[in-house]
Amino acid sequence: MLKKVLAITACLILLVSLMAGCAASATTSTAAATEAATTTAAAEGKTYSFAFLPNTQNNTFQSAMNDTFKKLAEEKGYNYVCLDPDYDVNMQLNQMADVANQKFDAVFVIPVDSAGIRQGLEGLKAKNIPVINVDTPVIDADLELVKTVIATDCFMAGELIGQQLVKDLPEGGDIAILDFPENESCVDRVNGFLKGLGDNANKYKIVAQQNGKAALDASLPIAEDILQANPNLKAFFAINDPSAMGAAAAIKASGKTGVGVYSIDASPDGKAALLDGTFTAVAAQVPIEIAKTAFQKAIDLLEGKTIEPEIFLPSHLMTKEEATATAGQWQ
Amino acid sequence: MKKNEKFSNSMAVDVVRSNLGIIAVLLLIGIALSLLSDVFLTYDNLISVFRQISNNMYLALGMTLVMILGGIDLSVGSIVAMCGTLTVGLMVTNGVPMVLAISLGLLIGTAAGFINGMLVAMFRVPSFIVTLSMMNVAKGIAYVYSGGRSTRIMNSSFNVIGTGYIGFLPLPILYMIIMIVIFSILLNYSKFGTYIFAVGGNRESAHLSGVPIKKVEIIVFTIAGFLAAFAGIILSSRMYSGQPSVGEGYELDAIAACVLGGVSMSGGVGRISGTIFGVMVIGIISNGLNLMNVSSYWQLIVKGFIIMIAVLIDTQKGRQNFVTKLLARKY
Amino acid sequence: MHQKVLEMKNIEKSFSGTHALRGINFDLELGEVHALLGENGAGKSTLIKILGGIHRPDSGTIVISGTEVKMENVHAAQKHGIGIIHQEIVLVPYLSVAANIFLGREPLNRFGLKDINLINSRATEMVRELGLNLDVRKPVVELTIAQQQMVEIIKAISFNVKILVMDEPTSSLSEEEVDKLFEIIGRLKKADVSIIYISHRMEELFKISDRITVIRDGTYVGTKKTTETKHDELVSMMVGRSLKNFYTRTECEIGEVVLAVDKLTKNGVFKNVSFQVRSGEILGFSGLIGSGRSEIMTAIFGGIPFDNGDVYLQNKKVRIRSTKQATDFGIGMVPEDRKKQGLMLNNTVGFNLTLASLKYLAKGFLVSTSKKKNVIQKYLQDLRIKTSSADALVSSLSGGNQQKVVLGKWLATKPKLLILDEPTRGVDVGAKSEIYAIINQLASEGIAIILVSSELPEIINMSDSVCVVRNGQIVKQLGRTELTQENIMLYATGGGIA
Ligand SMILES: Nc1ncnc2c1ncn2[C@@H]1O[C@H](COP(=O)(O)OP(=O)(O)OP(=O)(O)O)[C@@H](O)[C@H]1O
Ligand SMILES: [Mg+2]
Repeated sequence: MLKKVLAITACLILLVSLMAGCAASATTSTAAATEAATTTAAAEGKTYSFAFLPNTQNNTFQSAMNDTFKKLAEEKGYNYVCLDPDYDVNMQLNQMADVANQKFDAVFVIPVDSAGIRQGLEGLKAKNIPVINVDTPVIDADLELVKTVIATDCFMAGELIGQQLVKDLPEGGDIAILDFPENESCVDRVNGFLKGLGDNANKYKIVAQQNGKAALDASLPIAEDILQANPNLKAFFAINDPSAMGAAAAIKASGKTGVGVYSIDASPDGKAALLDGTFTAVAAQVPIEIAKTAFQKAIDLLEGKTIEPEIFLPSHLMTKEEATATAGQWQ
Repeated sequence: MKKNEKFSNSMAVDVVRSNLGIIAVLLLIGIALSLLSDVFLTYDNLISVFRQISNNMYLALGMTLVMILGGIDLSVGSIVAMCGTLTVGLMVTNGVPMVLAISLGLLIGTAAGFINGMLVAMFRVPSFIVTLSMMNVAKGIAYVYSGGRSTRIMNSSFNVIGTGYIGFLPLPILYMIIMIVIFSILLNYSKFGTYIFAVGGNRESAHLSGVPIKKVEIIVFTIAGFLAAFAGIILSSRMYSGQPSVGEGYELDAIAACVLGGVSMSGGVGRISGTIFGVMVIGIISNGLNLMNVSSYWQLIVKGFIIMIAVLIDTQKGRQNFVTKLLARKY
Repeated sequence: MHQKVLEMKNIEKSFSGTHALRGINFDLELGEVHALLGENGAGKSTLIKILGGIHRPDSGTIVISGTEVKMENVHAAQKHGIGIIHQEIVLVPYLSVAANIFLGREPLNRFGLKDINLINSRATEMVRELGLNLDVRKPVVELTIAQQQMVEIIKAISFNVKILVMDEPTSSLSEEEVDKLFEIIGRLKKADVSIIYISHRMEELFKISDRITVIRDGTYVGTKKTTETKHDELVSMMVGRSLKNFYTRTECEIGEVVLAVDKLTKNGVFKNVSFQVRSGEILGFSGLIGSGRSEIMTAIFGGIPFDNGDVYLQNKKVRIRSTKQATDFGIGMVPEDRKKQGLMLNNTVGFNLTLASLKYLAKGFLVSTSKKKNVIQKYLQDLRIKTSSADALVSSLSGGNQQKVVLGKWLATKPKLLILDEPTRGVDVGAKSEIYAIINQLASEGIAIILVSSELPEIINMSDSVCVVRNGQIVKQLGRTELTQENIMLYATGGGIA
């Protein structure tokens, strides 16, 4: 019995110390980063400290934003930190609390869960730190706690791609959608897409609409099954590039030709796919633009200017020329 | 000649008899689906289904050995991600020649399995814990190496591995058949196979009989690692990319297939034939529901019920046995 | 011919906490049966495991046919021609009989795969040779314990052994099967196989052994020629004192009927079983292994369902559907197979002792630690269970002491009816005598007792009357005056039915 108690206690201690270890290393690295930035900061005018709290860094979209923020901060000599919660709401809340205590001047947030970070937002508000919500908006009820929402106009992206599909397939036909209903922005993309079909909508039959989980390995078998069930399929619309790649791989595997793949993102992979003809068309998300805008708006805000509560950056269809020019990057 | 015929005949009877429950479930689902969808029973769809289940089959074969041994391997999903990402990354990012990259990918997955086995055999750490840790390590390696980015690969000879055909037969199905044959022989007709059952059924007794239990444990986990690496490479070829985020929950699908096929969670019992049927049931349910365009949320519920029913049928078959076992524990 | 095939000299062995062997000497001559005798926990099995390469001795030497050898592992022992039938049956449950016999040394065919046909045919041959009728492709779980024991024996002798060790091979065999075993031993002796034989059944030793070595608490006490010694001498060598009153049986007052069973039937297993037990009475059940005695008991205890018949407890008709209900009615049952049914081997002695009686130890939701301690202490002392502490794992106890733990576990529930299925299997004479005294004590306290046993002297000396079971039916209930070995065997084997 005693042995068991001892073993359990030992485990707990180990666990706690591990967690403490992680936390410690995280804070030290933050501190180190802050320090480094401070020392290199030029003594010209005001020096601000910004923090970026994305939902993850395991994604080129977010890391493109991070790179942009970092570059801008370096140019201006500002302090800049990025904290990665890796899709863990709880960790994001902790990071928000840390940031609030460290007296940052402004914080950019991509919520892990749109409805789940109110507590953190309140903490920041209590310290009078303005929050600029980027990419994925928080729920309406929490909008009061953020200064502005800056995101790609996803509805427009969907609309553009829908219009492109009408252009490519004027005679209509069967189409399939790979969606991701858990995510608000992805729902907007689908709605935009349907609107983009416009007056011609009745020519298109949506023979399947399935959750591709915004991931390649999940979308691949679903797309294969859709192809089997619908031999006359003309096109797939997928809400992001990985999902669209899954559809493309399924088409290749089936040996069919003439099935279009329409996507939204224009990630580096997506551009490559567009260039080699795997994708038929792709509408752009603009993370770099978002980061640039957010950075500027933060400065405006701190200088006392008023800013719009919602800024939707326009999407555009990725052309082959642009894809070639910006290959390997976001826009 | 005649003798041979009789032999194979009785083997078929044996396979049917020992898998009666799961075969019944499979037939029921098959009949239901062919009534509900006119595509289900087409040649193309069946080929497509088998290609889809091949991935789970590789993993489930390894899992069968591990579970007969009385263990569990939670790390296979992450090893899939790690080896797929590394193999593609080595080729695309580091310019390693294909054969070498694939060999390295297989080697690394095998090494991960070997480490699992060493820890289980030498230090008697429960396999649940060992492989849970390995699951995190492997996933971490995939993310660290790729920086969370997926890597596209358009090397046609690499893509052939996962998407090519021999005659009418897609290569992944061919691999699957070869592996089934190898593992059936291994488990049923080799000395080593008997040792796996012996260690799982009664470790003490196996030891007293001079079975090299540690060696058996190490080899089995190593095989599971190799198979996961293999699955990862084939999958990345099918996806035309190395994706660090794949593999989530693959281990659970493999375990579910094994359990459906009558592999005991406590070791000592299991059949390759059962696992094959288990994999088929799981694969066919997804395929059928996709064909009918059932929403993925409903799919979860339906799948859950079918698995539960299948397992119930199976345990009812051996009810008497089940009760006596329960009873034995009660005294 | 006094050629020594084996000499073990000054063998020492300690486990963490127990000094199991303290300088044991043992030798074996060609073609002899040398018995090893000692109380539970004396170190017999440990000595055997050292010989078999399972444990390594701390010091001491092993000499085989004149050359000193090191037993590094099981394989080394097998190579030296040593075959062991372990005390606890260690077969792999889901492998076939044949696969178990050849486990670890499967013959291979020209493809490097197991030669299944050869394995099956050779196993069938071996089974036949011993006069058994058994499908070697059956998984071992489906066999009775006696059959499993026979498979163990076949497995051990199939090695071409020069030295065969049998650690309590008869503890789960019935008289008939024991006779068969002795026949085999005779044959092996003729083939110049030397045999080390361990058993707590003294009468067996006098039947088949040539010499007897006694050990006590890990020390060597002495070696006697069987023809030159007596039961009492051996017992006092073993226990360190002489035992009077081996079977304690005092007259006790027989009271009300506690359990009455009327025409209990489970199709294909047992049929029309009717009997009564009164408080203070010990009702014996005898019969061959596999005659259905244990199944009848398990059914009464709610462990397996029956098809027909009624059970009355204290004159009230009851329907016992689960073992939980049975314990609630005040029935306790010490099952036949302690390893599989009686104990949680990976738990402590204390845990096992109190498992069945937790409800008496609980105050509301919580278990009272002090009460629990008291109960554990009481039974450790009363039953003289030899363990380093209450926190030792049951699996580290000797077989006999494990059996006492199971007994203690049920005594702690203070039952009105106690079913004892082979309560002294693998228990040494000293402990046996204690267990008999305990059973007698329980009876005199007014508990009704059903005693199922294959050991005829035990059942004859302890029971008030005996039901003889054959093929799932009670063929005869013998009263105290009719109880003789011949009578019981007659009915058990089907001879006495007109
Ligand atoms: N693996 C082990 N770890 C710790 N102690 C052990 C182990 N094996 C045996 N012992 C202890 O060594 C002593 C001798 O045990 P052993 O099993 O040899 O007795 P035995 O003479 O065979 O008794 P029995 O007649 O009951 O079978 C006992 O006190 C036992 O508890
Ligand atoms: Mg022993």
